[in-house]
This record gives sequence, structure tokens and C-alpha cells, in this order.
Amino acid sequence: MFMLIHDFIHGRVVDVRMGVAAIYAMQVVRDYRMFQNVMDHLGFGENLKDDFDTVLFIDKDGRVTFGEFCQRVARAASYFIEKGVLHQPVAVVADHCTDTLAWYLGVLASGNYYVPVNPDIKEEKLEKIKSLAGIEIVCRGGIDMPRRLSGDELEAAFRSFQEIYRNVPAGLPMYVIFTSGSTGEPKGIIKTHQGMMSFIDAYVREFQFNRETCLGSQTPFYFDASAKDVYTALKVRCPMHMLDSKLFLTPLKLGEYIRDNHINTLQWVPSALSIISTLKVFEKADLTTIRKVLFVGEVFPPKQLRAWMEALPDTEFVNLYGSSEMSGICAFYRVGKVPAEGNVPIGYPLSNSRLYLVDDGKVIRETETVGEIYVASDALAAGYLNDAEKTAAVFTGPPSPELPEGTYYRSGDLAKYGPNEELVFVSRRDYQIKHMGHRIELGEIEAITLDVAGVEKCCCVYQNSKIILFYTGDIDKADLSRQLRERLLSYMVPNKLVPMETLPLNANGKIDRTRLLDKVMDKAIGRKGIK
Amino acid sequence: MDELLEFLEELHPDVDYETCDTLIDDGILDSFDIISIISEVADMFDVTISAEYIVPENFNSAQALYDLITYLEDEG
Repeated sequence: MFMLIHDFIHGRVVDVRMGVAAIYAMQVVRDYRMFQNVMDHLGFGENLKDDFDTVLFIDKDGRVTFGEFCQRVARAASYFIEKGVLHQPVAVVADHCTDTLAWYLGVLASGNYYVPVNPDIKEEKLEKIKSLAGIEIVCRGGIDMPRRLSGDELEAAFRSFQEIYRNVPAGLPMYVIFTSGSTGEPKGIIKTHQGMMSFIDAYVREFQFNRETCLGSQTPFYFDASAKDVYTALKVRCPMHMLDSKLFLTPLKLGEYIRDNHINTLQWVPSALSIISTLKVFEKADLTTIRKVLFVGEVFPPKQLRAWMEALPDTEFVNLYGSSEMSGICAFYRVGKVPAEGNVPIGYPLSNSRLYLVDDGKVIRETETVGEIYVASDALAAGYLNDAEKTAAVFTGPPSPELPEGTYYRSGDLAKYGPNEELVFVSRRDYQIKHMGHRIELGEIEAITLDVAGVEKCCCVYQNSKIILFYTGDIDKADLSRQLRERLLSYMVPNKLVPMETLPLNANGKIDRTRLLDKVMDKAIGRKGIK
Repeated sequence: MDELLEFLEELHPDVDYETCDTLIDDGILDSFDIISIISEVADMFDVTISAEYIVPENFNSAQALYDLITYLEDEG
């Protein structure tokens, strides 16, 4: 199915007269120089050599030091250099292992850019992405240590590498991430080197990541949210454990793994964090090694967040806000206390970003007025692949004459300022509906529903002039309906409540509204998934 | 057992639960399925499956899961 290229070092002849040890030493130095270049380019390169014995990545095959990692990167880079692949997109099948990251960096080190691909991708979709991005090479698999390049080959590779890197065009992407577009066509977002540098620098400073940090990486490498783990580890040179997805099926073992390996920082999606709290792992496993929990991507159900905060009272909990249209995140909120009602705030801008609320060409500064979030930042993506129209619609000029020139990302998120000038999410622009003459944010109904005891997750859709609420949890329809009537304005009360065993998730791990809408359309709400 | 099978079949209609004993090992059930199963078992049998019992051996087959439920019922 894939053109696997991990066999590229087969059959190399090493000059035996030099002795294996001497060759090894020489290779380490040369591998290092190649890796150094890409690290320098990303701003991570200072005194790299001193950390050759520092453990960097840990996957199910074991530990890899900085020195070993840079050899793998060099080996991966050599392949592309040898083949004359330059300034090209290279797809990498993103298994949750060290070699995926060696391919990423190797692609960068050879002056190319990478396109992460989900290992479970359907052939048809891969073909579509390949043709959309103009990809000819798909990499997957191990970069084995015993199979080494000869010294001459590495030297030649290194020379051409220097040449190449000097000539990398300013606008060359770092990577292109494909997300599912609303139309169903995969949509490629172009991330830049400059964006990643700007983000990681600000992010590491804000949250004081350092050598003592120990990351437990859950986010698959085909999601761009994983860059927070990968590039933080590379920048601060701290260990990063790649958690096997199977561990999430055995919550106690997951807890033990975290404890035994002194993992102190989790940057997970709330769904993954909720597995630990829902299954009450805190009662059985000591998770007090965890010092920082940073969550992103969806609303953390308040009950689950509360369970975490009660179990780990000395741990820092941070709500992160960002989107694929930038590197990393652009705002954050340190959660002191879970709000009694409503959402955890989006919070305040990261130091490399400015966020504005704009409504109808006016910049909102007062509290409680709803506007759309616009982001100005060095970390903004360069736009959508081959889609100038959509790029222009989303990456705009100043949305208000009050704002300075520059590029602004139109987020589609509606928010307002709270009492402490913190941004508070209200809803997606697209989820704003007109119902019986009233303007309603479906997100508001969802937030209030989540506050009802017994409700775990919920999702509101609007179809045929009816508000339909899907929910999971331990509460029957009659009881929920009564409670919602007490809390919601009458025109906001859902017309139909649908209890579910689980809510369908999309490829990004978020609740899949489209599938819920389909259910309504098809009237296919049979027995499956319904209590 | 029939009740349990019926629920599992709704979860993944394409699986033959009578014979399959690699539900976890082959990645058929994911962590969200496990959460559904635990909440359904709580409703159906009034049995709480706590974290220490959530291991592959107990979820690899319908029979193993049923044995676990019976065991927990007896422990009561």
C-alpha cells in the first residue's frame, strides 16, 4: 500500500580498514552537524552536543538519546538528499513512535516539508491527499541503528545539505496538516517554520517548561496539537514518553506508567483526560507526580475537570485556546476554580499573539458584549493549500479601521470579556441560530445543559426549526427536561431530547455534529446508541 | 448473557461475539467503548466495574466480560 523507504541503507559497504569504532565516531560527528543545522534553523540548537546522552524520546521500543535521535534524523535526511528530493512535500505515516519524529525532522533537514498522515487512513483518502498536495513519497517505518551510512556518503550528504538549507525559500512550508473540511474534502493548512519558532518560544516561557519537565504524549502525531509536545521536548531537551494508545484501555496501567516514569506534564484532549476521571483511577493509583495539565481542543466537561482538580489540588490546570490555522495556541487560562456555570474562560493572549473581539467593524473593549475573535500573531499559518479564495476569507486584513495593518485570522468563535478582562467563549459563529425570532447560541444551551447533575456530554443541533439536544449521562429525559425549563429561557429549551450511550466523535476527537444532524435527517435513530 | 450480547452487538454489529476473544488485542473495542460498556453494565446488572478490573483479559471476549460481571455480583 505504501512505498516504504526504510530500506534505503541496505547494502551499503563500509570501509573496513578504518575500523568500526572510528567510523562510528566520525558518523556521530557528521550526523550531529546535520541535525544541528535544522535545530539551529528552528532556534533550538544551542550547545546541542552537551546533551547527546540526554534521554529525549521514549516509545514502546525503548529510550532514544539526543545523540541517537540526531543520527536517525541524518539518516532520514540523507535519503531525500540522495534522491534529489528538494522543496517537496513528503507524507509521513504518523505511528506513535520515535521514528515518525525522525522522519519529520529528516524531511525538514533535507529542505523539504512533511505531511502527517493517520496510519488508519483509507487508501482512497490518502490518494486524494497525495494528489492535492503533489506528494510522491510516503514514508513509514523504522530507521534502524545498525544500518548505517558510510562516512563518505554522510559527508557528501552534509555538504549538499548545507547548500540546500542556505537556499530554502523564505515561504517554504514546515508542514501541511490536513483536516476534514466542512464540505467533506480534506483541507490542507500550511504551517511555517517562523510560526513554530514564534509559538514554541512564547509557550515554553509562559509555562516554564524546562529539563525537569517530563511529557506524557497522548495526542497522535497526525494532529498538529502534538507539536506542543514534540517541539517543547526538542526545545527544552526534556524526556517525552509516547503513550501507547492501548494504555488508555487499561486505566490503572496508564496511571502506573505515569507514576513509575515520573511523568509530570500532560497536554491531552479533555476526552482522554476524562477517561481517567470517569473510571475513577484517582482512587486506585497515585497520580500526584502530575504537576501540569494543559488541555485543548474541546470543552472539558466541568464535572470531569472538577474531579481532576479535587484529586490533584496542587497541580496547575490550563485551558488552551488555538486552532489549526496557527502553530500551537494563542490564548490560555489558568483554572483556579471551575466556574459554577458556563465554560472555563479562553483567558488571555499568549505573548506572541494579540486577540481582538470585533463586531460589525468595531473593536469591543467592554465586558459582556459578544464579538468574533480575530487573532494577529507571528504563528499564523500561511493559508490553505491551493485555495486562495478560502485563505483570503479567513486570513484577512484588519477587521476594523481601529486596528493596525497586518494579517488577522478570523476564528469563527464568538466570545465576550468577563469581569477580569478574560475572554470567555460563547459559541461557534456557525452555531448561532435564529429560532422563533430569537438569536440563540447553541453553545449556550450546551453549556447550561452540562451544568445539570447527571449529564456527561451533550451536543445541540438545529434542524427543521427544532432545537435537538443529544446527551449522555445518568439522567432521564423527563428529569433533564424539567431542569432545563428551570434554567433556560423558554424559547431556548430544546424541542427534543435524545439520550445517547455515546456521542459520535469526528477524526479530531470532537463531537461530530454532522453525524448527529444526519441522524436527525435520516430519522435513523434506531436502537443503536440509544438507551 | 443474552442481554449483554445484545448490547455488545449494538456497539459493533459486525463482530461475532460468540467466537471473538481478541476484542482488545485486535483493537475492536476502544477506550470510549469501554466507558459505554461500564455504564451499561452498571445499569443492566447493578454492578460497578472499578478501575482495577479494566484489563484486556476481562474485555477480550463477551464470555470473559460476563464472567467478570458474575464474579462481581457474587462479591456483591
